[in-house]
Amino acid sequence: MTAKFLFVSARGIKLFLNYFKNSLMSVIALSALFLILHTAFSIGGGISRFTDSVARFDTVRIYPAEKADLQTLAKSAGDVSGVEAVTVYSGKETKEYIKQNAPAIDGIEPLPDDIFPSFLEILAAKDHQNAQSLESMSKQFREMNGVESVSYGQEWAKRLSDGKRAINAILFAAAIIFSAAGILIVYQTVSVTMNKYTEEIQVYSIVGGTEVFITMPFIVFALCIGASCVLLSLSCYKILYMTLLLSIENAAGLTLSLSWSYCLIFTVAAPTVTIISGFISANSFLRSCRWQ
Amino acid sequence: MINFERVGVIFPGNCHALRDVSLNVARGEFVYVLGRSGAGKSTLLRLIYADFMPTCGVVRIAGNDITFLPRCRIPYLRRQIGIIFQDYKLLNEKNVFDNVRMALDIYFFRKSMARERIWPLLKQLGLFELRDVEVKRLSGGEKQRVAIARALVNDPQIILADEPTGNLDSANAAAIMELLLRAQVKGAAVLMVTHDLNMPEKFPARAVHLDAGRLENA
Ligand SMILES: Nc1ncnc2c1ncn2[C@@H]1O[C@H](COP(=O)(O)OP(=O)(O)O)[C@@H](O)[C@H]1O
Ligand SMILES: [Mg+2]
Repeated sequence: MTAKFLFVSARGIKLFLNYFKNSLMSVIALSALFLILHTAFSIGGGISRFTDSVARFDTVRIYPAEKADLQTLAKSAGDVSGVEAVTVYSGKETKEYIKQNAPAIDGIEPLPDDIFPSFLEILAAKDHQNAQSLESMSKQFREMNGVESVSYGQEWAKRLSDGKRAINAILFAAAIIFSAAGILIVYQTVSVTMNKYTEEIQVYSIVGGTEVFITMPFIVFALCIGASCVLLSLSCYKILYMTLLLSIENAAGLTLSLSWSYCLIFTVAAPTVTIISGFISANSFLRSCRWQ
Repeated sequence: MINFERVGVIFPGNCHALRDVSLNVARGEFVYVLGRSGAGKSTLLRLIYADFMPTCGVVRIAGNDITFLPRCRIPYLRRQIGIIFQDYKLLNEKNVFDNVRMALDIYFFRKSMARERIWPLLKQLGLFELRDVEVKRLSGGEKQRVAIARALVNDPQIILADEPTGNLDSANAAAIMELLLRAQVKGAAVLMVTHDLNMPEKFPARAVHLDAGRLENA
């Protein structure tokens, strides 16, 4: 068993080295594709994380119906689970707030207090500061008596989640397309290499080499291509990150490094894809051959 | 050993390469397959090593009906058959030893074990001094002897030779014939294709004639 394994691996690696010029082109092409994929994933992931950190969902505003009692409302709002604190803003306080925060707006002073809306500002507890918790809290507020409307930035939350979904869809599509391109490249490379070894394959076939014996070195060859691409593309990404992305990261406050789980999945998936592609290529090459 | 029953082969384009061929070759028998170019001689040999299947009829090799032989068993059938071609089918860049060794690679023989099998054979065939020479630097007769060494190294029960002397002068051809006859004496069934009608005169043996795909006993 070990003898077989050694023999086949040695032959596969020898193929890889003998046809290095040939395989080098594929390795470079594939690594370039994968590098684009890494960059796409790192930027996509960075944007997702960035928006998550910018979009803080921590407060809900309750606008009371006319003539509702603010204090009773504040008390019952305070009993809802996940509420940390309730602050009451009467019309007068709203007027003060606007005067302080927007001093450029003239003519506020002579207006009567009660044309400014009064509202309650609810601060969510730490572990409830996200869009879903605020939505479920808002639902309970809306059901309370004397509540006109409730807002926590629903529109923005929806846009954010749509945007994230779009980014994920694009990344997913990119991964699929690039895998398909990778499969084609490896398929073609294995096919071309086997073509150059036609005589040897023919001899092995005549003396009774099994299909597994004949194709295995080419599958190992495909594995070598896949493994080199993983190494090359990840190192190139690292260099790209150090030289370029790191400065963008610092300037824009994004995190662009690839996650460990991405690297792990890629390291396993890429060689697997090349092995499968090599397997299909080698077998279809063998089937299409007839020896005279 | 080899048993053809009313075998027909039709290639695409309605080309009848073999028609109604019945043939029996026993262990230790030497048979010439004679016939003009295009008569179907190579087709007959290719059926024996299961390169393709007959269109009709039955081909049995060492008891196996090749039509019902699973694809994965074909290599094991070929291990019992030594095949020699007119164009040698050797790898020119490899040396003599490594060319012969390819027939042992499939068993994952180590180099030392391969040597034990191959060196005595090379000595018998007068190739021992040439063992490290690349095949492209050999003469036609030497190349054919290397091909025979590769065919014999697994002690096959059947030897198929498709015009093995076609590219050789008469002295070299005679040497190749000696080797094939020696393998027959050891118990292998030997089928030799040739269009050289002098051969059966010099080395008499059973001969069959193929004419446009039909077999006649000569
Ligand atoms: N793969 C093939 N496809 C179609 N026709 C073939 C094929 N191989 C051989 N033939 C035809 O079958 C006939 C017999 O060929 P072959 O057995 O090679 O003759 P030969 O006696 O010269 O060895 C020829 O007419 C040849 O053209
Ligand atoms: Mg022929």
